[in-house]
Amino acid sequence: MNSTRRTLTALTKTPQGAIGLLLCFLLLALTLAGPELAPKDPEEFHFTARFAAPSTEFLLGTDWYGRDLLSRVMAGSRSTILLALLATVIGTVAGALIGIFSGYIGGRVDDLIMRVTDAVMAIPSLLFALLILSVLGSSSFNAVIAIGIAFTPGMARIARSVTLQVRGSDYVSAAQARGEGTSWIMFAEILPNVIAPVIVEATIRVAFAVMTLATLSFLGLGAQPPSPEWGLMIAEGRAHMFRSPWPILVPGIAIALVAIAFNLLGDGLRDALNPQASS
Amino acid sequence: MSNTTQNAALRIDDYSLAYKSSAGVVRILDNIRLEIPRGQVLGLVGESGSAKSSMANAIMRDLTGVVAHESGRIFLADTDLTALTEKSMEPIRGKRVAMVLQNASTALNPTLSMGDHVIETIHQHQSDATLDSKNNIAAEAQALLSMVGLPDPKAMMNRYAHEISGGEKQRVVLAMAFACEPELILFDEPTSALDATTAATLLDLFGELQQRTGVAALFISHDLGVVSRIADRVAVIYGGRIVEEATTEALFAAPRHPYTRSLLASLPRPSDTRTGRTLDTSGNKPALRIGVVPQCIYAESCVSHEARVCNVSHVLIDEHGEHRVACVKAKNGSLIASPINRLDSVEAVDTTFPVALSMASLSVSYGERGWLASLLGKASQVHAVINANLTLDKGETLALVGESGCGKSTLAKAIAGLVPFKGDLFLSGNVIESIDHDYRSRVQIIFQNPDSSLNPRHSIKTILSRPLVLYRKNLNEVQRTQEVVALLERVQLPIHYAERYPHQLSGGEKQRVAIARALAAEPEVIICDEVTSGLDASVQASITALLKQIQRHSGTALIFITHDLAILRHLADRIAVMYLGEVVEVMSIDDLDEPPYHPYTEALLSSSPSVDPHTNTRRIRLKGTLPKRTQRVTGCVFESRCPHHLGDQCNTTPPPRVHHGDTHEILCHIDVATLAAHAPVWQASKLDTSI
Repeated sequence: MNSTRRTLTALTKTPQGAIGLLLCFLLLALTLAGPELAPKDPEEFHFTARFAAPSTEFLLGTDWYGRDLLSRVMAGSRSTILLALLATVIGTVAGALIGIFSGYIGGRVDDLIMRVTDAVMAIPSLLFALLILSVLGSSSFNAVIAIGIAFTPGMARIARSVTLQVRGSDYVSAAQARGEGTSWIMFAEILPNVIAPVIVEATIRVAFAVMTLATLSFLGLGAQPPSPEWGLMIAEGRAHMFRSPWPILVPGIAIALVAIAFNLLGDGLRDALNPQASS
Repeated sequence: MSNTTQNAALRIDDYSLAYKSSAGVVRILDNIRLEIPRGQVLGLVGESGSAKSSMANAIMRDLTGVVAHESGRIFLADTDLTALTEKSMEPIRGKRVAMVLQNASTALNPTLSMGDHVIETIHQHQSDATLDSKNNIAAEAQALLSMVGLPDPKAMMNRYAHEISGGEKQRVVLAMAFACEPELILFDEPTSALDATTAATLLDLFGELQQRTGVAALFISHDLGVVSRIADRVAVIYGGRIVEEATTEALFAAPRHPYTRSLLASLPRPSDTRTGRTLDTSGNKPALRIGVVPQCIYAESCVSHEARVCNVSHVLIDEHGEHRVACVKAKNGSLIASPINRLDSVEAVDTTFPVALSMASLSVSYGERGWLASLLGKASQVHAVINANLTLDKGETLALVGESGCGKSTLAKAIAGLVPFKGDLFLSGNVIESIDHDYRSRVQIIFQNPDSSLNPRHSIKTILSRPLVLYRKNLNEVQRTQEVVALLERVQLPIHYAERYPHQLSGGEKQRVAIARALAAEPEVIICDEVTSGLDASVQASITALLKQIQRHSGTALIFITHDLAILRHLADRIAVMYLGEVVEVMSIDDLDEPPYHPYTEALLSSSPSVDPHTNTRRIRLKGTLPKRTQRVTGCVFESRCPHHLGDQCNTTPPPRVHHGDTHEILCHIDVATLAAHAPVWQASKLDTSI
């Protein structure tokens, strides 16, 4: 679409946007093709090469079973990044809907919804996710749901604050004077004008989601061994930390890279989607 | 001119400026040659985008863009400002050149008192300030505040920006500008954000102070009427070039440049009813700023343009002369005289029109009576509209006139069903029980600002097809597309605009889309809320003409809300004047030129700035302050500012609604005969019909 192309062009004009976009494209490619491209079988043991440092055979070294770390990171990218994206999407969609509804309806309903979100936001998101997981039981899917729910209040807050500005615009008054239904006003008039800051926030949240997922797996509440999920890899590698740093370092850097990539993309999008910046 | 050079407060010598942008180098100012002698006021007039504000920025050396190219020199007395460094420019700003901007509320720091503002300004430019002189400075600041006509300057010293009115804020800014006795003051649209009656008193004040102190001034405005009041000489700027410069009288009586002529031709005048003059609606294209430098900047829009004659060399304004002009044809006298428009003979108005819309005791109040507030006795309600009784006949235009905060927009919103109201509303004689779908389709509203009334994320096609989807359900997809095309044609926009988005259109074009959207429902009543206020004069004239034309074709009744009285002669059939929520006068447009008037209407008419060589305007200025909106006034709403105040009865008794003839209603204690005996606001000076 025209506006999408315009946004992408504007995105490449700032350095952080361009780098973020490039990194995200690479990560996306990794997610789609990573497991197939992995040079070795991520589950295969190489007992002769345990704790190997990076070499031509094992580009990023091996872990305590002699599994190739590069292959494991590549294979694990799909579950890690995709699950983080899924969690963010759940949080964003739910948060935006609640925020727009609450902001547009206003009054007592708005007060009630916002007090509930305040209460939820008062609990740290990791603790909140732990709480949900303890109810739902530990699995990757439940971890995704838990993070999505933990993200919802923040998103709702952002969507609501922008909705409050947009709601006073003449085009919303014009729609009301025309007798448009609430759903049209919320989804066709307000939503497109609220979406920009929400998208920016979402890209930054992806990085948080990766880290929270990794933390949950690290605590043993997300993916279960022998899955090559990055957080789980770090958790398992911890026991062997003093024999070799590579089993922790490699997935750790991968997580950092994803966080940086989405953060940069978010920064770039914030500038690109600002209507004052693009005339 | 060369012999006066020594006396010039400001002299601009062939100054050009260009900024870099992503689209290429943008020409901002082009070979500006201007001179302001000491003690004189030069008016700089131009439409939006003519770079008139950039001129002020260039003089202040506050260049807002990335400079691609700059040449020429700007002299303040003997100092060449273009050669100064930023550091050496600092003591000149405020001390030798002061600036008064449009928006006083952003020019004042909300955390400083008014006294601190003025003291700060004096302090900045006094290097020898000692402890002892502190009291002197405070006394000086207070003297300045009283000089700009602020009541009770002592109390004003301790007030903050939110505690005083817009007009008072602009007076404080004026006091700050005069604080250091500058050689030159730059005014950038200083009265544009103010109400007409406030702006008129402020202009008078400035004229008086200017004469007393002998300061030179550059007065920038888009409003020729305002400039004609204050300036000794006027320069007209178009596309970053000065196209004409002359004494105020000469420029307005006998403009030479075709652009100046078209600008004046699009302005309404008080004498228009008498002379039958209509407005020029041709409009001017914005000047090209990027790419090849045109020989004549006005070539694209000029009716007289002839490439053979005009494109011989770079057309610049004469260096010397009493009446300078940048036009080849004006100099050799071969301009095509623009035709003088005359009103078509007015069709006999059918007075048996049935009533389209009427209201009985319609009132709107704002402000919730929260349970805590009412418990503490602090419940405060603003009465935005009080007992409005108006009727609107089919096919007529009723103008709703008043200053900001008088409740005219609130009344419009109430009729459009956007705010709840008390009282009754009748549409075609039937009382409206609730604002339903049917009512909304028959009464449409157009908002003031087309930038915010069109959703930036919707295409023009989406915008125009929504009312069709809602109100004309029998149309199918294909018919809707056809109807969108037909609507665009009705508002004289190209058909391919359907695929565009609002930000790709100019202000006037956006307003046309908003009009088309209102027309889509085929309504009986259209409410136009200040639809021409944000637009340039020429665009305003063409929008007005469009509305009239639409009305003639469809017989729609219009409620036209405005604070600009001048345009009404070209549009309205009847006028309702509002003040503080009450309708104080209702009259037919024919009554506008002759008394009786309500005292407020009289002041409003007198304050409306206009350029009209055929008319002398009697000067009436309002003093006094507006009452708080949360209090219900017991007597007459205009009591606190009325120049014809009668005494106690005005303070205590609500005035009666007096009828004068069939169509004229005045809400005033003063006898109609007395009001009718007042001298008319306008007097024809000489009724020649040239220009």
